[in-house]
Amino acid sequence: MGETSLLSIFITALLIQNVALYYLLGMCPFVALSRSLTTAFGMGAAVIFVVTLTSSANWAIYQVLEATGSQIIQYIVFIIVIAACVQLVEMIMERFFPALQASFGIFLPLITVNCTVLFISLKVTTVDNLSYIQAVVYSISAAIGFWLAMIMVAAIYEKLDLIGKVPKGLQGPGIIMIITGIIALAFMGFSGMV
Amino acid sequence: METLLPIGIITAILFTLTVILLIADKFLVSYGDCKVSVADEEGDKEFTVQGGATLLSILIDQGMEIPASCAGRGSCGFCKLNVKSGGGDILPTEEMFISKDEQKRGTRLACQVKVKEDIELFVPDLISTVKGMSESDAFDTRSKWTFEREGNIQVAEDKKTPKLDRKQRNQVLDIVDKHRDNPGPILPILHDVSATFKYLPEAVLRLVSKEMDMPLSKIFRIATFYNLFSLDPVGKYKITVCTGTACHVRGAEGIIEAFEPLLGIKCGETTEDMMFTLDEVRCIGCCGLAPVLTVNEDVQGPMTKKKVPELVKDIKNNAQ
Repeated sequence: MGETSLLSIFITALLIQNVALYYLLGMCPFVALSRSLTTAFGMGAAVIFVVTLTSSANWAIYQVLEATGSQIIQYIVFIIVIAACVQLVEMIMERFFPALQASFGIFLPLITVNCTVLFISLKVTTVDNLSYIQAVVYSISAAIGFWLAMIMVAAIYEKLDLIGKVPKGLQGPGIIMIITGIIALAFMGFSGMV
Repeated sequence: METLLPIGIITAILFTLTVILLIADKFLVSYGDCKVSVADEEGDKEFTVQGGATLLSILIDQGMEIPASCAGRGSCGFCKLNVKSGGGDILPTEEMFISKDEQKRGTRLACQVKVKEDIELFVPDLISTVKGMSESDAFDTRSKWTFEREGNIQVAEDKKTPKLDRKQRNQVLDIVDKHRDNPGPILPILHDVSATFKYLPEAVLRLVSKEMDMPLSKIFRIATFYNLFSLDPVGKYKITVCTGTACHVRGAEGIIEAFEPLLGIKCGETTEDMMFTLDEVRCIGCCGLAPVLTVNEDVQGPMTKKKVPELVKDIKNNAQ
């Protein structure tokens, strides 16, 4: 991906290789918090914040690791940086959005082990070896892609909930999985764009 | 050297992150000293605490009795109090316990409110909390006391509660003295009171609470937990139908339905002449005799609907 333009990186990360719909990553908060638009919106925003912060920090750290030949510790370092960022997000939310924090419950600290976050950090460093600007653009657009997928599913779920015709066995996670699958199929249509 | 370098890098990163988080902690999470003004039935109190903790833990630290059987997990809904100012917005975790009316009055769960600024509270005293508990849906509606309420929080003395006469008072004091020094004395005391009075009169529980120096709410919790205890007067013959799994499968509901028209009462009620009380219980441990019931202490089983009129007739004959 050495010479790819920023626009094509943006579109690839946002639509074509959407982390939630193409790679199917971060499914636990995705399924658990897609039941209302407000929480989905907040969770997506928190993920955008964490991903942007961590992957830009991790990119810089990875350059140091590569230069010193100590890539062996990259996973540990990435996880530590992610954990610290989540801690930071939690402090900010406790201060400014206590109601949102209460509705997240356990899922806010669990962003730490959200595979989306680690995946994007690894993708911009070891897998694709992007330049700094590309890495930042990629991580922001991938995170926006996660947010987008989440609020789409949440909006559809809310509408379905209002109609109330979801079969009993499919209520909750079941129907969210099905909605996700159908949206993922629709997103396959973007694959020829870049 | 090659192994030391990664260790050094990790240490440096950890150190940097710790410093960043400490700085963030100082600016974001610390709220400085907050003034907590508490008003309750006994008067006003005011104290200054370090911000950031929950209201429940702060009040308990100050030695106040706030009932919270879930220890602050936000799942029992008993630690209600009124926040007049400085509590922030109501959280989604509280909404299921607090009605619209209470929301207007500023009722919050103490375990969910974090003290971040100066805060003003009204804490209902224990008795009204206990009464609030008994009026909530969480309790069996059939076994609750009747209370009169004046205004929002002030509780009028219950005029229906008969006062204890000297003899009854002495009986209760004897029972309390008998068990006072044993470990876990409340249950045996309630057992003996129940055996003497056939039920747990409110006045007796208040006396026990005073004598044992224990909050009424604790005694109330024990008294409402066990099916054996009744807070209402029971009839001379207490018919308890087991509705445990085995009895339910073999038709305990039908037995209760057969009793109801015969005695003219619904399950959980007492006849006006104070002869019969009909009640249900989850399992008395005689599944081999299912469906089974007890008349006072006598176990009768296996029952059928046809045997019910016969049994009632027998009891009435014996009584005469």
